[in-house]
Amino acid sequence: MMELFDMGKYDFYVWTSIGVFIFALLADFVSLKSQSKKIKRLIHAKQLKTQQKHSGDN
Amino acid sequence: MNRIVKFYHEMGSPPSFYRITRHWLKPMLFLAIVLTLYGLIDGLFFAPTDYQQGDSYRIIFVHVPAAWMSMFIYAIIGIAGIITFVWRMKVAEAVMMACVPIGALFTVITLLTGMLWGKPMWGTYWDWDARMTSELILLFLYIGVMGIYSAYEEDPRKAARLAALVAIIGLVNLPIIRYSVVWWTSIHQGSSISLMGGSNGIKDWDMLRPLLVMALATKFYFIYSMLSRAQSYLLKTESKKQWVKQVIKKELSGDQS
Repeated sequence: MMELFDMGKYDFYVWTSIGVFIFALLADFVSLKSQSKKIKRLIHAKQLKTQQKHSGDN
Repeated sequence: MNRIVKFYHEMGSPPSFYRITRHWLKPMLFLAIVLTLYGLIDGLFFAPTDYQQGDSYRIIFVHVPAAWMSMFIYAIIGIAGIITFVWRMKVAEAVMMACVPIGALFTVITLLTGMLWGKPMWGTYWDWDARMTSELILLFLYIGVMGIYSAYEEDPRKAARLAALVAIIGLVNLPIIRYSVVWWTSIHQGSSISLMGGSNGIKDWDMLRPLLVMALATKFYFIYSMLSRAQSYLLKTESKKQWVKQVIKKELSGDQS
């Protein structure tokens, strides 16, 4: 099994590169998901606030 | 032709853009994951070893697709920037600003994996070579576009126009990156693929296949990431519009059920 992952004397360079690639894309995925949720919640909160203000005025 | 024109006009309207592209996200992400898994497994475990570089050349399967994406995304930013600057189209602004973080990320991946490939091949992580320096300038351009936008964020339309101007000026860097290894003496190797069928680049199909698959995977991930961010941008900048209210109501009630 370990033979499959053996990159000769270049193990560190190859696997670190793959790690950088996967980590960067995962970080991007997590960041855009949380950003999208945050924006939606923020807009929803603003909408509720406006509705409450309008019902208070009436 | 009418269908294409109609589609173009639909995509220019924020509510239609949101409605149409909402359905593209999951297929794009699915294709990106499947192709990345296939490309990495094929490239790392099944592609033959290079006779000169040994197994270190396998970094190509992440480095080269990331490098292509870093330039491709900047070209899209430039085109969207021109549309933003000339026609002030809101969807173009959203696409432009949504491209910037993912473009910067691919540039960082390119630089880091390039350094990790450079050390065993050239004996150094970094050299102020034309290709590496111009790629670093590309990263600064991405940061510049983000910085300009952030500086004027309270007025998103003005911020987008200024960011577009910086992006358009930065387009001059793309041919410099592409031809740097031809115009100047460089320790960086030439093109990995020759579209014109020249003698340069990879010829072995077993090496070329995972590279092309990874190139496709990064394209699909870019589309997913760009569309997600563009949708968030439109929701944020159009938050007072009726269509946003309806979308938020529908999506949040869907989350809760």
